[in-house]
Parts: sequence; structure tokens; C-alpha cells
Amino acid sequence: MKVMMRFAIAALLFASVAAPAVSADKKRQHKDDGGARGLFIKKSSDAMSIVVFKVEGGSLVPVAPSTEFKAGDQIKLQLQSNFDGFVYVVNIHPDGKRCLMFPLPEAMDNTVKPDEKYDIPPGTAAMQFDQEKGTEVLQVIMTRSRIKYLDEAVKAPEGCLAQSASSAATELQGGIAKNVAPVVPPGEGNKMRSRDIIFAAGKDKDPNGSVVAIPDKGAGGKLQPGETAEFQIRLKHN
Amino acid sequence: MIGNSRHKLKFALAAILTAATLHEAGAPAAGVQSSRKDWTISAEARALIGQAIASTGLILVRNSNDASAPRPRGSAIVVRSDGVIATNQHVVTSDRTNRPYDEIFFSISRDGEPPASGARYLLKPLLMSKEYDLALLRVESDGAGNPLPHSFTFPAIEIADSRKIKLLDDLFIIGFPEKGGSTVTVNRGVVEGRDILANWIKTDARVIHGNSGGAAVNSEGKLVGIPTKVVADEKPIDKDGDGFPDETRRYGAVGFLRPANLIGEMLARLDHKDSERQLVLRPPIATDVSRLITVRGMVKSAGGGKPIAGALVGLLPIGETSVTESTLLTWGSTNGEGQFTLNKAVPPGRYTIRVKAVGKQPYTNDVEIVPGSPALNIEVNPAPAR
Repeated sequence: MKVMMRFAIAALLFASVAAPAVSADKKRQHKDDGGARGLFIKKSSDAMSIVVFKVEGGSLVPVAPSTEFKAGDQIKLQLQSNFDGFVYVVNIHPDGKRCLMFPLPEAMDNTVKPDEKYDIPPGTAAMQFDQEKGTEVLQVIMTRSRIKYLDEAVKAPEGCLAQSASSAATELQGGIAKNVAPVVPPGEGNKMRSRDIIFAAGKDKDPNGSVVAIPDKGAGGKLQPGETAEFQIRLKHN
Repeated sequence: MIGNSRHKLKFALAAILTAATLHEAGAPAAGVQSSRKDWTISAEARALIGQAIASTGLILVRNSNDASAPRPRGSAIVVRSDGVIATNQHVVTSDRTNRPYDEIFFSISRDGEPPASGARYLLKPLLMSKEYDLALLRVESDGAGNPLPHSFTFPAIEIADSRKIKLLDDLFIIGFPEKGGSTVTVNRGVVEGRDILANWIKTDARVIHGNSGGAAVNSEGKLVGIPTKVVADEKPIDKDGDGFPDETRRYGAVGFLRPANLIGEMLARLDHKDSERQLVLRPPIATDVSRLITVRGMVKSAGGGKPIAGALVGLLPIGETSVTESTLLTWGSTNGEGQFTLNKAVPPGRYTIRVKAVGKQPYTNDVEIVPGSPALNIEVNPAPAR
């Protein structure tokens, strides 16, 4: 029996997964399209593969990049990392509200290990599109160290971020602020950085899905503690 | 803010010493389980705490358009004999307008007598710290507006070095909690902990509505902290299983004090004339509701101009460098198109805007919000590569 989660989503466009999230320019993106899978397999860079499944007749079917979703449709993500670390998934609603989709109170462990596949949400739960139409985003954050404000959001009502002045202030702190509670693990200060990500799009109903990877620019494509790599899955719901 | 009036506080370990009990060797009330070895208090300590009580008073407030009598709002403490008073900012600021009340009165405590029967003074705000929720005010006149003689002095409390407090040190909370009636109320607890980074002292002493801005003193009667808020551990209980909580069960609470050293620092800033000029109250923000503006805009990547989804945008008072619950005026986050709408409308004026997004450098800038302003267009830079 599927456990339905409130999830205001629109269509899942894997082709557009990388578009807003990838920092690399288009030229490099094209050049690296084939490279992301190689980096993922060789583990020379931290990378992650993503498959989006739609629940159809009780089965999970990989969805095409152009799939459009409607209210009531259910999906699951399957992530596979090639590194030891943590993953957070935040749903950005059409109105900007942000709610943590993973980890969850009932599934607090968001560690990822190489070569293991992780269903999001875990177990028999699925994300279900509600009536709210528009573009929604699934923001996937890869890191080797925990992110405090996201960990705290697990306990918030519906897992949503910045619902109170206190939680919003905690998230906004840093940089010029003094006497701030760190939003990254102690000792990391404001060293939280993001790494460029390259992308290899999955094909229609590709069971291996798409792959994102940190480019190996000679300095190594491994995330350091306090660094994050983020990519976004943009979803349209009509 | 202090407390939650919905719940009764029960502290098995915190004996309650009213002003009256300070005159007797205090023993735990019958039936109260206590791990304390010694509840007695020396005559010397009792006298010193008695002096601290004499420095503590009640804050009463009223707005100019309010015909009713000034109403009790919290506690305060004399920190300088020339009439400088310390309290919490939230005690002297209207929740509705976010401005200091038009009229702020201070009534000195007299042991066992309602402050209203004692002397009442009119206060003028001098220095506010939104970050720490603290305020300094000066006695401007008596309650009727008549100037006081130059030779007039107030019973000032001595400020302890709050950095030297230790876990389980004795603490006495002096103030005018709502539930304590109109006379001063004193209770006893210990230092349960310190949060040096966030500038808090934690205590098991009872801290409830009305204690805000009062005094937490040590056994020498010196000020070690200002009772500022209490955090309760409570859980809704659904007794009949209908999915709706029928009552809330409270398991305990922790009182939070602002360390007295912060008051010392504010007094030092007051003494420094240049600093005083910089730190005077900001001009009151206009609060004409019809002029409030909802701030909207877009966050994009610098250069490429791609919209950034999931960025958090916050508005602070102009020049504010600290982002706290009390300085954050309004906030919101960007949607998939990078667009945001902040959750509370603000009066026209200049503000500091701050933006945070995963993988981007924090963005801070000053903006002017005026009626008819176009949507803000914010460009943020990627975080530096290592």
C-alpha cells in the first residue's frame, strides 16, 4: 500500500534537470555529456545517477523527460551515488515555499554509500502531485557533511524551511553576521561551497536514468567537507 | 518573549522564594523533592538580594491615543544611579507597531507594596539592541512630567561579570510576573548552562510572563542576567483519538537570560559620545498600513542571468549586520522561476536585503522600497571554487 505524501509537483523533465542547476556553460556541458557517466563509473569524481519512476498500476516505470504530470500522479526518485556522503531533497513549490522531501521524520538516515540505490521517499511511500499547477523543483543537495538548517527542517511542520523568523534567520546567517549559529557543521564556518556539476541526460524510459558529476579539472572532483553540489529537477504540472 | 500563559510551570527542583521568604531561612516546601543539600540563605546574602530587589521595578506602557491607564508590561532594573534603566526591548516595544510605546513608565519596587503606590517615572529610550532583545532607557521626569532634582539618585544594581558564572551557581530571579500580582516576586534556581555563541545563560528558575527585563542576580545580589525568554517542552495530547489535541502536556521548561555583560557593553557605548550618536534609535518606521509595500523580485545568477530557485531572501533594518529572529523583518524564498514575494509588507524606506542560496555567495545590499518600486532584480555570484 502506498503511503501518499503531500507533494505539489508538475511534470518531471529530466532534460531540464541540469539546465538551471548546472553551473558549467553549455559548451562544457555538451562536451561533458558523455563524461558524467564515465566519472560516475570510474569514481574519479563524486557523482550521482537519478532515475525518476512513475507509479503505474502498482509498478514503477521510468518516466520520459517530456512526461507531463497531472493531479494524483505518483512518482519516486531513485538515487545512486558513487561516494560516501549525505543527500537532501527539497521541494520548491510554485509559490517558493520549500519543504524537505528527504530525509523525513520516519526516514532520518540520509547517508549515501557507493553503489547502493536509494528510493526517495523510502519504502512504499510515493510523492503525489496535488492540485497546485505550475513549475516545481526538486533540489537535490549532495554533501559529505551534514547541513544543520536542513537537518533541523526535518522536525519542522511538514518539513518546510524558513517557516518562522527564527528558522529563516538561522538560514540567512553567515557572511557578515556576528555571533551566528553555523549553518554548516561546526568548524566549517562560511566555507560552504558549491561544485560545478556536469550532466548526462537519460533517455526515454532509461532504467539507468541521468547522471550528474563534479567535473574533474585536475584538482579532483571530490566534495570536501563543507562543500555542496546541487542539482535541480524541474517539474511541470498542467 | 517570556513564557506561555497556557501552562502552569512545575519545577520540582526550583524552590520559589517570594520576597517574604527571603526573610526566613528557606526550606523546600513540604512535599517538594529536592536534591539541594542546603536551601538556607545567609543573612548577608539576603540583605544583598534585598538591595537588588530595591533596584527592580515594573514597566508600564501606554500609547498616546490610549485613554486608559498605563498597563504593566514587564520588569526592569536600575543599572546606573543617574537613572539609566535596563530591560528587554520587547517589553518597551509594541508588538503591533514594532515601535517603542509613546509613554513608558518605571515604578520602583517596594518590598511587599505594589509599585503603583511607589514613585513612578517617565522613561526615554536611549539604546536598543534588537539582536539581544535589550534596551537602555533613561528617567526623564517623574510620572507627571516634572523634572527631577539634579541631586536625585536611583538605587542602581551592581553588574557582575557574567562570564565568570559557573554551572549550578545559585540564581535569584527578581521581577513582576503577571501571575505574581502587583508586588515584586523573587524565586530561586541555578545556572543550568551557558550558550556562549548565542549569548544565553540557561536556568531552571521560574521565568514567566512579566519577568522579562527584570533581574537575575547571584547570591551577592549582583546582576548576572536579564530574564528574556523561556522555552517549554510540551506536547499536544489527543485523549479521545479524534486527531485533535485536547490538551497540552508540559514536561518542563528552560529559562533563558541575556548575560549582564551585554548590559555593561551597552552602558559603555552610551558613555562614548560618538558611539551614542551612531547608536541612537533609528527613526521610527512609519506604520500607516495603507502605505505598506509587499516586496517582490527575482534572484538570478550573475552573468548568466539564470533564475535561482530556492534562494532565501530576507529584509533587515538598514545597516543591520546581524540576522536574528528579532532583526529579520520579512522573508521569502524563490520559486522555480527565481521569483519571490516576501511574507510581510513593510513601510517605505531603506532596508538591507540579504539573500542566501545553496552554492551561491551570500548577497547583502541596501535597497530603497518606495511605492511603485519595480520588482527587485538581484544577481548573486557562485560560491568561490576551492
